[in-house]
Amino acid sequence: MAPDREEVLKNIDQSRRRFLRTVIAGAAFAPPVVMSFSMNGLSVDPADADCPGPSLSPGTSSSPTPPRGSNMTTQVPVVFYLDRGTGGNLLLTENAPTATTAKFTDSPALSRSNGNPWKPIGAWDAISNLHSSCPIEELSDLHVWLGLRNSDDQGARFDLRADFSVDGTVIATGETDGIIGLVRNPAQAKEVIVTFGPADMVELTGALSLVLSARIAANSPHASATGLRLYYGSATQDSNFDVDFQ
Amino acid sequence: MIYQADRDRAHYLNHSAVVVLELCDGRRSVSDIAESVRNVYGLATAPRRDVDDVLKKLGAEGLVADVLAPRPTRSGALRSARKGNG
Repeated sequence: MAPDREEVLKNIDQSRRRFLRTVIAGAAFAPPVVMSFSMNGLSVDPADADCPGPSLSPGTSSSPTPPRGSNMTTQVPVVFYLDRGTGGNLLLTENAPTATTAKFTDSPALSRSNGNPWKPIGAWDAISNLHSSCPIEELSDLHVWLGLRNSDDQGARFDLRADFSVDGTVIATGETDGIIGLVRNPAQAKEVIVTFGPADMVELTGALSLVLSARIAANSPHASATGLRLYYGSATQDSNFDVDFQ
Repeated sequence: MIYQADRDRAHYLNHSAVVVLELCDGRRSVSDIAESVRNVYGLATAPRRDVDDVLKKLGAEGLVADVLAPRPTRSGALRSARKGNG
């Protein structure tokens, strides 16, 4: 009987799907095994203990032997969802949204004049400092849902840029150009994927922030637009990206 | 690897145990989980006994909750409480 992994995975919370897909890739069934042991005699760097993949190092006394074949360090992706607090502040949260109605944030008016500058849609800041001591290993693609502020702009093309920063320093930037097919109807918001370029994985730690910006695309038949509308914070329009911490 | 800071215990799970743990979402019954494991690995039959055993182990270690009295109905589905970093 052939495995039907995707059928199972599609019912897994999105925040865990990528991780689980990696775990089971190419694996044949083996009976589930859980081996537990006290950490007495092993050391955990307190800074690492808050990271998704704690680095454990063997102690020198009568420490338990780690299980053969186990990895003492794992990288587990953390999914950050775009959201907005009650005070209107834009934030990154690890809580998957469950709301049925999406929130949205608009860009200002966009125009090709004056050099077609990038206009900020917003800056989303991580609300938790849980991972603030954890260097970043990798960023996944950013998934966002986009629409128009005004239906008159239907047919316009847009560029979207994402800047991801740690402690105020941009370490990765992604850009998707020529986005087409956006409409005013929130129910028809379009999922757009932004792939981050190679991140500058310096050992930076600190507050995480995502800034999204938009402009009129070079190949747009419209030279200006009222603006982009970015949807997030609902179960179906859960704009998000993964961060793998070291 | 999962590390429980409050208990200072570490847990190594092989891939099929990770699958079981990830399927403990508070909605699936034990039977549902076993059936999903069957699908994931393309098994002829659902490994119900293996899943029972590992759920007991995960429950005993405090990695999931309410695993000892599962019922196959939706209302009796597992309620999981994942801890640690895994």
